[in-house]
Amino acid sequence: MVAQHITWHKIFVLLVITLCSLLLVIFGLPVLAKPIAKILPQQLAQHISEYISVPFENSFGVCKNPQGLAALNKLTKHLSSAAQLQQPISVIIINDPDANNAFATPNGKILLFAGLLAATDNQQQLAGIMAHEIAHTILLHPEIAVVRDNGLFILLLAMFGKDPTIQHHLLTLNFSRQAEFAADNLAVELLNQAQIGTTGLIDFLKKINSPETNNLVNMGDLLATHPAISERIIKIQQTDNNGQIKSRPLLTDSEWQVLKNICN
Amino acid sequence: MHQTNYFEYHGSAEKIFKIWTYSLLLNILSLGIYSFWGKSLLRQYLAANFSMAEHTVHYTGSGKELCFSFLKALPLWVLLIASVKIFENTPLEKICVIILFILVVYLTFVGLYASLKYRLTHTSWRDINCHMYGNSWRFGLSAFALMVVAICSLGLMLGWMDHHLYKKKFNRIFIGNLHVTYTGTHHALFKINLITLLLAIPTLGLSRIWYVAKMRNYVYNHTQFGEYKILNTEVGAELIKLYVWGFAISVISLGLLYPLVINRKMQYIATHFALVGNLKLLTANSEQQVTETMGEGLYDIMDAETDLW
Repeated sequence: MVAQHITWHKIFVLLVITLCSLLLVIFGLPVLAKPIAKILPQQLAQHISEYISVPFENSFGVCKNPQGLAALNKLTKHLSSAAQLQQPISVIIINDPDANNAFATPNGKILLFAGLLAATDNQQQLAGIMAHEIAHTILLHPEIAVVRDNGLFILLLAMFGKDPTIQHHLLTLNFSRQAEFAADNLAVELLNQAQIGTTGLIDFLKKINSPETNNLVNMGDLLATHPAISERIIKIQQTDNNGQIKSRPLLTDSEWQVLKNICN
Repeated sequence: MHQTNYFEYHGSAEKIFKIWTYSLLLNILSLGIYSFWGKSLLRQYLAANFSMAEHTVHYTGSGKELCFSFLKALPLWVLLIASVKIFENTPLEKICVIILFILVVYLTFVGLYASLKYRLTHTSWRDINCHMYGNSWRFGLSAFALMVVAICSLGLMLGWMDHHLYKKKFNRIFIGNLHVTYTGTHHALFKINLITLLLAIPTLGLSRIWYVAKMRNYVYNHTQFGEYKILNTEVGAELIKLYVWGFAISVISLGLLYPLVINRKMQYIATHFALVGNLKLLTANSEQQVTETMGEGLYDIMDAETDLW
């Protein structure tokens, strides 16, 4: 008889082995991702970064007003020097007024979208956002995410044979949230070292969390993998001992205005 | 007076569930490699539980063959994807995507024919082997041309397309030494297609399932080999019930009770297909079988589901 050898006992043993293997993959891969990310060749990291950023740059264009760029570089340099980074940070502004988003890619490249820049009220808020993204870069979150997410995706694809997008998204959600809290923690440190303080970051988070501005700032895409904003605000305030450092502006008013209108 | 010989199906949902779960788990552990063996195992079980006149059907396909055919078809697929990647972000990207789309549709038809050919050449009953000849690539071209006409006619020519597709497939099959012939005309299918197309919106598409039942009724009841005729007794309402039930069970159980759907489908086939004629006169063939080298590899890559028949 065909398939006579398949018994419930065998299926049970296989089920246990499969579950153990899946748990090993789900929890083991993120652990392995960090050391792998650390030894990721710079050329490869740059290639991945370009692979992510070039489609945005080609589709929407990059804001290149020289005075605006100078102001942006000044802010970036100040935050980076506070972190004493080995690799240079480069921030580019993508000319998409509808995207209220910012993210870090491997190799220290940060993409800031025009929509998000327009949503900031002052330079402290922008510095807060940038510190958060720089923190992601310092903590190698983009590199770790590339290694972990692609590894998980390939393994899930091979295991289940179908497009595992939904399962993959659910599995990586928790890691993304952990990364957001870690980036907030380090951003607090960077902002305080740069004598900017956390008021701007907290104000911006409060702004996007308020019901009045929900229509103005659609953070749906950005927050899909982020923890609740109110929870983030509380944790930032706790880390910062409720804001001991007084905020001081790094850019002059005219520099801030030029930066704010860099895409116009 | 010709005798009617009905199929009998003795398989159980429990056994299918066992094979299906066993294959799924080994598939996960082997990172997908076991899928070919799992598919073969299930087909062997289903075939072995199908019988007519106390003789069971045999399926002799193997996982190794399916795996090799997949590996043979894989470079073609890699080549297609690579060509799109090469032209990404260039002015030729859109043209390349259109060409890829056309090729994917064409290759799906090629895979459909190759897959049917493979399954038939690996199926036998009472030592009588099935055999199919014809070039899969040429079939793909004809099928693609028929599909273009059907699309241009906004679906009005779908019946005509189905008639020609079945004609091209069935008239290339041998059962033992007997040549299968389909003698239908496209006029009958045209009429059924037209009526069900007009009813598609008010019936929320269910009329199209009714079309499938009527079309298969017509096609199989106009197919014979030697003095033997195929009898198909499918009814639209029953097919709709089968589809809706299968869909509901799969969705509610998140696919875990899919073996129940397979079992029900096999019962349905056994109930609605029969052979008319004296089976004692049907003799075994001794010809060397020609197998399809591409097998189901192409169809597997297209992620198309293939059943035993």
